[in-house]
Amino acid sequence: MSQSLKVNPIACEAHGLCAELFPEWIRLDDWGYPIVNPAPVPSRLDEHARRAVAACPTLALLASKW
Amino acid sequence: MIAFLAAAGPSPLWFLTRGTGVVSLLLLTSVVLLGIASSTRWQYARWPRFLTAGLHRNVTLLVLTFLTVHIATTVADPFAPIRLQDAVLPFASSYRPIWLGLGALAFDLLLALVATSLLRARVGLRAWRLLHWLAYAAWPVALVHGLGTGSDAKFGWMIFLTAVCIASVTLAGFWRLGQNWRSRTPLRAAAALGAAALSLVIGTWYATGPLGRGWAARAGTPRSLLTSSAALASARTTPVGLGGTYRETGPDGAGEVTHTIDALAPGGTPERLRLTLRGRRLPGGGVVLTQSRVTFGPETAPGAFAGSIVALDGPRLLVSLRNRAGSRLELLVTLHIDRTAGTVSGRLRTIAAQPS
Amino acid sequence: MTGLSLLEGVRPDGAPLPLEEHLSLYGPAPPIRRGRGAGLELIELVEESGLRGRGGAGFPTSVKLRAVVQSGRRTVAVANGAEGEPLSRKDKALLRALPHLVLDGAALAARAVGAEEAIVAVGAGAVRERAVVAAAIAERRRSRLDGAVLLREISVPDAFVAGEETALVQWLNGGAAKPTFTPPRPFERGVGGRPTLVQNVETLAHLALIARYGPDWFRSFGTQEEPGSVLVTLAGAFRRPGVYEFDLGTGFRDLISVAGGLTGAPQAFLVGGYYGSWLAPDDLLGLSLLEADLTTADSSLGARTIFALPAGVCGFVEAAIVTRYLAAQSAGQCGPCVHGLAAIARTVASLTRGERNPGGRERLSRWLEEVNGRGACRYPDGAARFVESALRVFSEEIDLHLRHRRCSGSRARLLPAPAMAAQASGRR
Repeated sequence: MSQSLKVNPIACEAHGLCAELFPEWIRLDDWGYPIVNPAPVPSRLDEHARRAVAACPTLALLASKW
Repeated sequence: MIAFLAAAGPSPLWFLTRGTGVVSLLLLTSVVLLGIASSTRWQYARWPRFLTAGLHRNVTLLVLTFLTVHIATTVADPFAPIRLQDAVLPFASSYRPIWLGLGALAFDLLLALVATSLLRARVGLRAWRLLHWLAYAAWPVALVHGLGTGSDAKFGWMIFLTAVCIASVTLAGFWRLGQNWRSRTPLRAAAALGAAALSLVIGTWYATGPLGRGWAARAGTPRSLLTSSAALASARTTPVGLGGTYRETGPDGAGEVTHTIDALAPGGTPERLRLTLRGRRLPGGGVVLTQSRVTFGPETAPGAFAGSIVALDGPRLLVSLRNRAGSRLELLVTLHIDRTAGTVSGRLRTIAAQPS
Repeated sequence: MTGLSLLEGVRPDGAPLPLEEHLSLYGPAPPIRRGRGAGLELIELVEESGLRGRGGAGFPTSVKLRAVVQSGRRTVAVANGAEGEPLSRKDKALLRALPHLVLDGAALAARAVGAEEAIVAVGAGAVRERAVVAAAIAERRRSRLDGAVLLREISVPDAFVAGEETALVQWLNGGAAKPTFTPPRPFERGVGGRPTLVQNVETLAHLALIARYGPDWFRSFGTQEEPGSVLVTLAGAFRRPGVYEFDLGTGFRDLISVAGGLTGAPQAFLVGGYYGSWLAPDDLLGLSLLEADLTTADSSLGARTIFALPAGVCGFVEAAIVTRYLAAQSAGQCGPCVHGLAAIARTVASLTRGERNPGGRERLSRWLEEVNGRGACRYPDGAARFVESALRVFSEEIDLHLRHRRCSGSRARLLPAPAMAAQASGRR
């Protein structure tokens, strides 16, 4: 079961914890908002994805499992 | 473990309650500061945001651990009639109901904050955010609880720590309000004013309440626990006879001997005096004292007063004791020990008594 | 029965077609029978006809209808006449001239998806159109034309994004007229939490005709892949600008001649509105009015507007003004859109002033790329497309600005930027 990450841009307030915790998949634009790789996360990085989703202060980072 | 500590005398439990209480307060203060740092997005080159968030979360859980010990030792301590439900039901206890109740209130708030935070995804962001504002209420309530209930309120180090806690949270609060002060300025100004006022109120209450005279009584300490100090203080100015048992163990690996004396002072309210002395025996008899512990109190609360021997001169001992409410007692004890029979007799007189 | 195409019923004086005349001209509306079966029949007709949305997205209408009806719950139908695109006038023209055709379609669509309510959303500034719609609804109520379906007219703010599907639904739910995060899409959960059908008013008008004349009639216009006719707004350097009905597949040269030709050699065309793209004349004139054709030119039907930029006007400045307008019209909910479009607008403005900025063009390209797909709706994507195409089509003009700080044309301000003008000084 793999997951892919997506941002709810309305909820996102550019706290930036997701990029700190998962720099392999998420980088920040010029204003601190996340640019998320839409591809499915490889299983070896799953734990980082889970932590990034849990860390978001506004619950804006979403994981879709399929 | 707790039972053993209770049997050994209430002092270990009392120390744990006080110690875990102070540590909880300091940790909770740092949790508030970390929370403020989180919401103001404070960040430094080597201190990422997730570290602030992670510490905020983990230190809170640590606070809960310390509070568990704090509550358990308080309930287990036979000194004061505090039950388990008093830890969560505010203002229902018979021991200092208001000030203890504040502790229960703070604990309840903390539980709510932790539960909603752990279940944030289920609770939903709006509800979580609204509830989390209560953190700004939980912290001062916990602080006032400590000062109102605690036995260490009068000490200099406690005054210092309290001042540091209040100052740091108030200043951090001002800093948070000052960030982006242009938005909702009236609300921010009102909040800043409120924070400053609250600090002043707490400070003033501290100075006139816990730091003032007779706080234990004013705070609602049950009379039975109070009268023990007053009654004891007045009742023993005339010497009273003592009788009891004597036991000597040792020498131990360090070459020290332990003398244990358990004596009863008869009277309307009989009181038990227990002394434990450790020391090296001198060639001509007598002991060089290295450690001592003394408890004194009625049979129902034999550990009501606890302390140590401050002077030793032949058969005469000067004992300095304190009780939970902070009252001080000095006793002059004269002891005659019959080693072979294992008995002891003597006299006890109150030299000085200072109610809290 | 030979049917009338959409605009054939428009009165010469432009007044709204009253109910009786509407019914005698277009024929009686098919009876709205009760039961799920009747609704599915209509959906099948729509599917056979190949009707696609006329609001911009071009989504197959039957798919939308099915998605809403399959929930089995009570649903809501919304006729979207908000038309926030400043260049587009077709929806307002349709509502003004043929309100009953739109309302026929709204009532039919509502019945098809099991809705008892059809809400007609019109921009607050379209005062005349709103009055016409309200009067038409009253007319129908008197003759009890729509049976159990309740028609309502609701005004919507005039902002650009207010006509976006989720923004409209949020407005109807009592919130702001701003897009919401999806999922859930309106067909899953919309007005009042119910599955909601949102269709452009023109789409519904076509639906009303398909219900009368059948899918084969509809397919007699247009092409196999893109059947039917569309309303198009022609603006700018046409001899006779306005709203026209064209078969899909009409060549652009024919389209221009129907509008009386151009007033001079065109400099460029803006196709698809402010979220469309600029095209050089050579790139457009060989194409036909087809989504497939325009896609090959990196463009799209979009809001179905065609603006012809005359020679002698500085196209780059026109584009810069619209870019600033687009940045200001952002709903302001998503960081990448708010900050990205603002930075893009600032950079474009500084280019018009001929300011050299080391790394500015690279940053601009990066921002245009990064803003795609990072908003809750497709608004920033459209704005980026507009700017990118302008940079391409007006590259010589930009060069002129940078090298010589000069404009080749006048600053006529042909393209409207409504909210901004109202905010600035009230002058137009």
